[in-house]
Amino acid sequence: MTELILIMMLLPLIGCFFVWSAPENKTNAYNVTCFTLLTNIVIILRLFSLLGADTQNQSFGLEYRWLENLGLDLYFSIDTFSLLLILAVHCALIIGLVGLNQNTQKNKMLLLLLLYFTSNITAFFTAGDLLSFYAFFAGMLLPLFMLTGAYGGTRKIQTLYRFFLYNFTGILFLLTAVAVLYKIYQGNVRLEEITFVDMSTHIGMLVWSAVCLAFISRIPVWPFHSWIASVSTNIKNPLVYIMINLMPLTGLYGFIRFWPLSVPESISPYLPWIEVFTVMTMLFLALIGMIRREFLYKLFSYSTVYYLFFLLAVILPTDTLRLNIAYSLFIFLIVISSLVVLDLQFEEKCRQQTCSYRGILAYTPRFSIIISFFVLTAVGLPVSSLFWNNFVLISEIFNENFAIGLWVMIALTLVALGLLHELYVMRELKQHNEKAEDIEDISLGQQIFWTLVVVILGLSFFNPLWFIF
Amino acid sequence: MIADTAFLLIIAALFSGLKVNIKTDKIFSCLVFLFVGCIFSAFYQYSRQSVSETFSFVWNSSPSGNITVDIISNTYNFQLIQPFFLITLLSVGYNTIFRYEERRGVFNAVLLFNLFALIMMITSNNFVQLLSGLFAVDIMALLMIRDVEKSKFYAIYNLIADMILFTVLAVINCQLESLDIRQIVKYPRIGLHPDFAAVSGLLAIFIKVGIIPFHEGIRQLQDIRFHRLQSLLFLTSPAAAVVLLLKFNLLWEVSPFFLPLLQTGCFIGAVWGGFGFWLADNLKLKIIYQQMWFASLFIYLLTEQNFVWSAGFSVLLVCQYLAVSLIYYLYYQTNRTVSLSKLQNRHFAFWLPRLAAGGLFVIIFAFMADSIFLLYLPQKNIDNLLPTTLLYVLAAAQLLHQLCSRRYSPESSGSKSPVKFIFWLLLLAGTAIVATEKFYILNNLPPEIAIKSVYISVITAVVFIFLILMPVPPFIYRIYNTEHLQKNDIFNRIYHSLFIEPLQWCGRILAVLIDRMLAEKMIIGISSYCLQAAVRFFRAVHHNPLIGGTCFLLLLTLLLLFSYAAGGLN
Repeated sequence: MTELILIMMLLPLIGCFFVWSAPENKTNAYNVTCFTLLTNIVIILRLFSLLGADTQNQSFGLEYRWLENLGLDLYFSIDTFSLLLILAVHCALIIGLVGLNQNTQKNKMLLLLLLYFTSNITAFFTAGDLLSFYAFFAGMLLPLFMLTGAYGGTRKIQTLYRFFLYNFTGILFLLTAVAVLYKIYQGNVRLEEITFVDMSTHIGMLVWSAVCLAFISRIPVWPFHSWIASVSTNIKNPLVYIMINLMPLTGLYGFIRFWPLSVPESISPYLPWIEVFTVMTMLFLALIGMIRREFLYKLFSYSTVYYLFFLLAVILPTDTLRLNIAYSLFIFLIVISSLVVLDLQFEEKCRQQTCSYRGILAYTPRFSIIISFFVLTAVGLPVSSLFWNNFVLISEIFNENFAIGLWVMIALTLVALGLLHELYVMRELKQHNEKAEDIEDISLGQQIFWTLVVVILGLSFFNPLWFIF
Repeated sequence: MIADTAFLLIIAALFSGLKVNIKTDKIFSCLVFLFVGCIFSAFYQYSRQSVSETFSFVWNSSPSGNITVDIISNTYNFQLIQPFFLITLLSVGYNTIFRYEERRGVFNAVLLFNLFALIMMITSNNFVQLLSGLFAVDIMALLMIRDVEKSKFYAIYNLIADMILFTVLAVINCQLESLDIRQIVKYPRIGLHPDFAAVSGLLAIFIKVGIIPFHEGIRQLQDIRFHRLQSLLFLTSPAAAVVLLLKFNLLWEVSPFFLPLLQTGCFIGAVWGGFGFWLADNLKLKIIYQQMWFASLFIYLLTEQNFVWSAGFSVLLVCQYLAVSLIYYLYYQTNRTVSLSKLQNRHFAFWLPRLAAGGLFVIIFAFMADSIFLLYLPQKNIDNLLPTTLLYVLAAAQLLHQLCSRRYSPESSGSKSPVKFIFWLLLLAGTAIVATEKFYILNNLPPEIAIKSVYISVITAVVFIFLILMPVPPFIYRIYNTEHLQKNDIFNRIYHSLFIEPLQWCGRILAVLIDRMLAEKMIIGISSYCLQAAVRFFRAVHHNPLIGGTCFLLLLTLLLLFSYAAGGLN
C-alpha cells in the first residue's frame, strides 16, 4: 500500500520523461499527459478504497531514512482529506487539459511543466514531515514561475515580478520557521508533532508568525492579494490559470497541517486580526468584482472570496469540520476550473469573431445550459455537496463570531450576484453583436465531457464519497 | 401516501419532459393531465382519512446529526398540499388547451417538478430538505418565466432572499446544534439574535411574496405569457414564502418586532396592491397588483389565525386562482389585448360566454368573501383591512365591467373563440371542488355562524353585481392614459440610487485606493525602488574602487564593533 503512495508521487515525473522524449507532435505529448493524470486518478481511487470512508486519521505512511547522521528522515502519508485534495487537483487539471484541447497554444513545455507541477503538488499533499513539506512548498513554484513568464500576456514582466515577490517572501518566511524548528528539535520533525515542540514564548511567536505569513502569502489575504489579481487578469491559457489558482489551496492545507486543532497560544491574541483582515479582503474583492465587467475577473473574485471563506473555516478551533472543508474544496475546484475553461474558450471564439460575448448564449444552447448549471452551482444552489457543506461551515463560523459570519455572508452574496449578473449579460439577446450569431456551439464530444462533470457534481450531492467502492 | 404521490409526480414530470414532435406534444400533454388528475383524485380521497405515516431515509451525516429526507403524511400536510396540487392540475389543463405554447410537455414537467419541490418543503423536518426544496422552486420559476430579460430582476431578488434565509438558518443551526425544524421551539430559551432571525426572515418572505417595496422582480414579469404568469404568482416563490411562514412562525414570533413589522408590511402591500389593481392600464400588471393585495391579505389572515393552516385558506387560494383564470379567459376573448385603455375600442361577439364568465366571477367572489369572513371572525378587529378590501371589490367590479361590456360588431361575428370549451370544464370542475370544500366547512360550523357566512356571500354577490353594472368613471381612463404614472419605475430608481450606485462607488474607491495606491504604488513600488537601489549600489561597488573600498571598510568596522559588544576583548 505504501508503494502506491510512492507511485502516485512519481508517476507524473515518469510521464514528464515520456513527454520530453515524445516526437515534436503535440497530440502525442498531450495524450501521454492525459493518460498519466487518468492513471494517477485510478491509483488515488484505489487508495481511497484501501483507506475506507470517513477516516480522518492518517493511516498510511511511507518512511524513508535519508541522512541518518543529520536526523533527516522523510515521511509521506495520506488520509481522506489529503487524498480528496489530490483528486480535486487532478480533476481540475484534466478539465484544464480539455480546455487546452481547443487552444492552439498547447506545447510540450507546458505539458512537461504541468506534470512536474502535478508531481510536486501531490508530494506536497502527502508530505508528513517538515523538510519534505518545505521542499515541495517551494518546489512547486518553479514550473509556475516559468509558465507565468511564458503565458503572462503583454504585462508578463509586471505579473512575474508580483508573483515572484510575494511567493518568494512566503518561502523565506517558511524557511526561517523550518530552520528554527529544526534547530530546536535537533532533527526533522513530523507535522503532527510540530505543535508539541517545546519553544519559549518569543521563539514560538517568531516561528508561528513566520508560518502564518508564509501561508497567508499564498492565500491572498490583503496585502498579499495583488499577485493573484495580476496573474488572473493577464493569463489567458486555461491550464496555466488553473494551476496558478491552485496555489491558495496549498496555503490552506498548510494551516490544516500545522494547526490541526487551534492556533498556537503564542499568536492566538492576533487571531482576531487575521480574521478581520480576511473578512476585509473578502468584502474588498467582492466589491471590486462587482464593478469589473470581465467574467474572468468575476471568477477570480469569486474563487478568492471562497478561498478566504475556507481559511476562516480552517482556523476555527475544531477539527470536526475537516472533512466538510475537503468536500467543499473538492467541488469548488471542479466548478471553478470548469467555469474558467468554458469562459476562456468562448472568449477566444469571440476574439476570433471580433465581437463581445454579450448575448452569445442565445445562439449557443448547449453551452448555455452547461454554463448556467455551473454558475448556479457556484452561487450555492443545492445541486452538489458544496451547498450542504458550506451550510455547515458557515454555521460554525456564526457560532464562533456572529459579526464575522454576517460579513462573510455579505461577501458571498455579492460574488454570487456578480456571477449571476454576468450570466444574464451573456444571455441578453438585445445586447448582442450580430457577429455573435456565427459562433459555433460546443461540440458533441465536449458536451459529453461536461455532462460527465455535471453527473459527478450531482452524485456528490447525495454522497460526497460516492466513488469509493 | 404523500410519498407515493410525490414519486408518481416525478414519473409524470419525466414522462412529460420527453422530446416529441409538436403534434404528439398535445396528446402527451392530455395524457399527463389525465394521469395527474387521477393522482389528485386519489390524493383528495386519501386526505379525508386521518392516517399518519412517515417515509424517511438517511441522506447524509453532519456534526449536528444525520440528515434525513422525510415525507410526512398527516392531515395538516394533506390540507396544505391540496390547494397547490389543484392549482397545478388546473395549470396543466390550461397549458394543454392553450394554443400559443410551443412545448406543452416541457412546461408541464416544470409545473410538476415545482409541485414536487413544494411537497418536499411542506413535508420537511430538517433545514437542508427545506432549503433544497426552496431553491428547486426558484429554479422552476426561472424555467417558467423563460424570458431572459424579464427573469433577471426576479432571479436577483430571489437569490438575495435565498441567501438571507440561508444565513438565518445557519444562525439557528449553530445555536440549536440541530438541523431538525421541530427543535425551533427551544430557540426562545437558548437562542441568541432572535431579532436578527425574525427581521431577516421577514425581509426574505416579503421579497419572495413580492410585497412592496420588493415587488420589482415580479412587476418586471408583466410581459410574459398569461398562463405562465398565473402559474408563477400562485405556485412558486409566493407559495414557498407561505410555507416558510408556517414552518418558522414559532421562531420568529419570539422577537417583539416580528408581528408589528409583518402586519405593517401587509397593510402597506394591501394598499399599494389595491390602488395598483384599480389604476393600472396593463391587464397583466393589474393581475400582479391584484396578487400583491391578495398575498398581503392572505398573510394577514394567517397572523390572525396564529399561522395555522385550515381548509378556509385552501378555499381562498383556489378561489383567487379561479378568479384570475376568468380574467385570463376574458383576456383571450378580447384577442389578447393587454391595455385596457385600448380595449374599449375592440369588439368581440358571444355575449353568452361573457355573461357566464361574469356570473361565475360573482359566485367565486362570494365564496372568497365568506371565506375571509370566517377566517377573520367578527370579534377580531377588521378595520385594518376593510378599506383596502372595499377598494379591491371596486377595482374587480370595474375590471369585469370593462372586459364584459362590449358592443357586438359584424367584423368579429365570424371569428371563433380561441379558448376552447374545455377551459370552461376545467373552471367549473375547480369551482365544484371549491363548493364541495365550502359545504364541508359550513357543515362543521355552528349553525349561527354558518348562516351568517351565507348572508355575507349573498350580500357580497349583490353588491358586486351592482358595482359591475356601474359605469367606469372617466378619470380612470385619464389615469390609464397618463404614461408617466403607468410606466413609473420609482422603486427601480430608488434601489439604483440607494444600493447599486453606492456599492459600485465603494468598489471603485477601494480599487483605486487599496489596489492601485496602496498595493501597487506603495508595496510594489517600494520593493521595486529598493531593488533598483540595491542594483545601483552593487554596480557602483564593483565599478568604483573608492565607493567599494569605503563600503567594505565601513562593513568591517561594524563587524568589529558588533563582535566587541557581543564577546568583549577576549
